[in-house]
Amino acid sequence: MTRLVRARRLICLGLLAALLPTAAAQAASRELRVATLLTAAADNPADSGEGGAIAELNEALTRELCRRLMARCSLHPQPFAEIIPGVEAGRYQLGVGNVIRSPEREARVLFSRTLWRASSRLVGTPAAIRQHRPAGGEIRVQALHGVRIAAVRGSQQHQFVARHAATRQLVLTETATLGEALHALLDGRADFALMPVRGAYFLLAQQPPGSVEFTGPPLTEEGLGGTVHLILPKAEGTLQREVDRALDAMRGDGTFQRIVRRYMPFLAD
Amino acid sequence: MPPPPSAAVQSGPRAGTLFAWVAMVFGLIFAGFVAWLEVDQAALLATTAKLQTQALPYAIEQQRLARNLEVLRLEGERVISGNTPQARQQALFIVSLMASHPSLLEHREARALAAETESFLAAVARHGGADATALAEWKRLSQRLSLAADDITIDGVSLASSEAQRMGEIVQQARHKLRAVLVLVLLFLGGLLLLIRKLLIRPLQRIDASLAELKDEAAPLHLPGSTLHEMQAVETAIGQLRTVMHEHAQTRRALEQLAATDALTGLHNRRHFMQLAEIEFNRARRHGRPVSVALADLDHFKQINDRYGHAGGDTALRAFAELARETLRHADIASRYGGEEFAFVFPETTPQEAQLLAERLRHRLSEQRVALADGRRLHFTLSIGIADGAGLSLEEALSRADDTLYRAKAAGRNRVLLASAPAGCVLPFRHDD
Repeated sequence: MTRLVRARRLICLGLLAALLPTAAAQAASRELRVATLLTAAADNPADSGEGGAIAELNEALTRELCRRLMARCSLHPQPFAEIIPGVEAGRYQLGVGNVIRSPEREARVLFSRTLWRASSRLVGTPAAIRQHRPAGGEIRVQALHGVRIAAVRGSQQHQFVARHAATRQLVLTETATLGEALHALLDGRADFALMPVRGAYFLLAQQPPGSVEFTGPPLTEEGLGGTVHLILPKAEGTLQREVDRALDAMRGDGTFQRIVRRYMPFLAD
Repeated sequence: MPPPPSAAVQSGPRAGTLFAWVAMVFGLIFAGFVAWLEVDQAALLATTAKLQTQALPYAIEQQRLARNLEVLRLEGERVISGNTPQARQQALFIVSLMASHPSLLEHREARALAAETESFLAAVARHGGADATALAEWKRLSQRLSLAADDITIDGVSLASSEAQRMGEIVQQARHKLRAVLVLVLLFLGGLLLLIRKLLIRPLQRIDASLAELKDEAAPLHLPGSTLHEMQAVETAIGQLRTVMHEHAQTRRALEQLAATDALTGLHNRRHFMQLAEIEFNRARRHGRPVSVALADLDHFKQINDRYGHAGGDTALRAFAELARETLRHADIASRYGGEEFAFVFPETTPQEAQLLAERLRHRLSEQRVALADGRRLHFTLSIGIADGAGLSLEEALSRADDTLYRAKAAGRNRVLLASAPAGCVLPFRHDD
């Protein structure tokens, strides 16, 4: 009996010894380059605090995801406009940029499970809001004429403003990050900024009272709203399935919700 | 004996065919039930799928929407109760965020309520706080938000609950059907057992009883008259076997008769006589009962043969045998011992009684005239020697009777003598005349 137990132990140890290096090698061998959203200009350290929360939320989610994928991830903060092309070109295996799903983007990259849902909204200074508010009504982006609107380059908001710029004599103020868009607003280089609400919230929450506020109704039409996802190169179908499984597991055991709650005082999914 | 069932009677269904039909009918009914259950299963799967793909996601969505409304209301409270512009703005941003959430935007009433709430709270924030009027208005708004959240939650749960109830009904229905199937199976098994008992077991038991009675030729053959072709075939075979056995028994009896009977006279032959006599001697010895033996010889039989030919001699022998059968008792054993010599055993008879019987026989023969084929009439006599068999073996008794017969011959023939010589005396050689 004792011999049998010893033999079993030896076999188990042997298997463990044989399998451990393989698993370790597999984990070690997987290195993922992850493009994350740059929320403030790299050359402006003063801006780093404004978008810090959303960057930290994205980073925390990414780290947890990589842990579950048993992958070593290197995070590369990029302006939004660089994320989709970088992932599409295969320079990054994963893009964490609050990317809204759209048919045009689906043709270029793969999308993970939905992270959350998004809408867009105008942000303006109280002065600009008072100036452009119609009598007895509220500002509607579709009704604006001859104003300067800041939007992040490559974003759905940017495409929306660009689409309507000619017909409504809008001036599109392109920025690399949401932080830059906010600065353009505060510096008087733009009258309004069209931003994703969740990203804007993190920025606006850092501003002194009365400096900027949301205005107009929330927008989801013409690509301004939708579901937000991680993106992957078209060739990474297997990794996409792994990412989906990991996200399901994160939602299933509550990890996802706890991470979100760490950076937001509420759940809004 | 009743005639065996003929092959033509085997008109019943074959067991394989019958049971195949039974199985097929049951299979069809069972398949019908399974198909009936399948309908429930399909409905259950469809309802489960609907619950998983529609009702539960809808309930979750409604739950989230209600939670978002609740967050909006709580943040609204913070705007109303905020002491500093900073606190009010922080809360207002969250209100704006929640009011902009797609889940609220997709719900017409929630969207309108959220927009109204955000607009009201933005005005409160701009005015640096809420006065009494604003507080009353907020109270109404807050209540509407709570009620809307409750309604949305109930709405989400209602659909899931409805689907779950539907699933319960289907499962309950399936339970009833399963019970019906169980009853069907039990009924089928019971029916099958009854059928097997009626068509197989009972006929087999009756056939077994009939087989047990086969040896008894006198017993009537009771065959069940089975329904199944195969059982009828077995009954036919049993009937045929019974016939063959009967024929064999008759043949055997005829052969036994031939082996035990003298062909000319019809009396027992010597071999069979010895067997029967031995049995009687044993019985007499065992019970201490009297028994006597006698040996008889036709007088001057050679002269009869010479004068009337062998046919005349045979006629004389047959005539004597017939006379012996008529004269002697039923229990007496008479046999042709050899040639013109006859042997007799008289059970339960003393030598004196035997002497009377023998004398009667001798007397009747002496008075008889036997008609020959050519019309002549033959008269002949016989001599008889009787010995007491008590205390003797058969061979000893016969030997003494033979000695006495010799003495009767020597004394002039046509007479009956009773052995009186002591046992063990040496007798002179006797030649057959």
